Amino acid sequence: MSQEQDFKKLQQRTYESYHQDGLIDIIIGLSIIGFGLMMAFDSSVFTFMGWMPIIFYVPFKNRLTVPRIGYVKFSSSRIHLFFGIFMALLALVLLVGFYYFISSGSIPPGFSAWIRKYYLLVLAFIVAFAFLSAAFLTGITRFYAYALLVLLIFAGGIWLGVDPPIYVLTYGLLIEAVGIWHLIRFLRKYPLPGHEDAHE
Amino acid sequence: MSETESSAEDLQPIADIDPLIHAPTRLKIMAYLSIVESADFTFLMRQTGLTRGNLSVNLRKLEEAGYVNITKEFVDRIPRTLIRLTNEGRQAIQTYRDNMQNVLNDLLGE
Repeated sequence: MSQEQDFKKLQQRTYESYHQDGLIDIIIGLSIIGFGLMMAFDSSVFTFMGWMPIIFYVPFKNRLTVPRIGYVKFSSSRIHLFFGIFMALLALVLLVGFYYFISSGSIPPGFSAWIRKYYLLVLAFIVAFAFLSAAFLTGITRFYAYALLVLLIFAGGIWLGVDPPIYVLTYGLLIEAVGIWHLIRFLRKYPLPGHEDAHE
Repeated sequence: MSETESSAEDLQPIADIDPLIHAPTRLKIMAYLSIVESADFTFLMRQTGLTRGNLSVNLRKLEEAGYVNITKEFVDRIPRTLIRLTNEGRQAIQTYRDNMQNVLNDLLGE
């Protein structure tokens, strides 16, 4: 194995170690649950649940993770790459949406009907791609499972004719459960150090 | 060229290896710092598996060589010791990697 690969592996292991607290899963899970509730009740009241958890990420990280395993700031080039992929994905979704809503009259009726029927499957592919990119860049291996899970749950839900909010909520709750399980394991594994050990 | 001169030339890549970085404990520290922008003392201690004293001593050596920059700051009234590689340190670890690669290539006859 080359040195470059060794360093990349070390970087991914470090990244994974910093995210073993499950906080990122909890935040993503809550966002998906918010989206599911919004669909279920057709109410924008739940929209806030989609983005509110993001605000709490840094304070929770500082309160729960940093005192236990310390603080690390990762190289900004990697973070830029990570956000670059997400922004490109977001731009793609917006473009497709814009095209769909603005020029729906020009879309062949068959395609338009297919999109209407399977738009959540398209969304599932986008989410899966986002998780795959994140897993590849960060080394957080459970993201591969989330990518597979979104495809299985959404495709299964559509195939079985389940109400969309049900399988969106199921997916969100599963990620939430994994996040909480990781958090509990993390808190048990790394109890708060005594005052003397807390800092250098 | 004499045989002694030739041997000395053969061993040149080994002589180029920075002994300060080559020590396993400091190599661990430098390797971790090279993959992040900065880290605090606790994080380095957890990742490298070094004791507080050992890490402290080796960080001081690296700081004296100008390879790392150590700053203290307060976050929510809690002191945090932040460590980052200097440009010199980043260059040093890169040179070390290149030199080690040369040595290994020579040893393996590549």
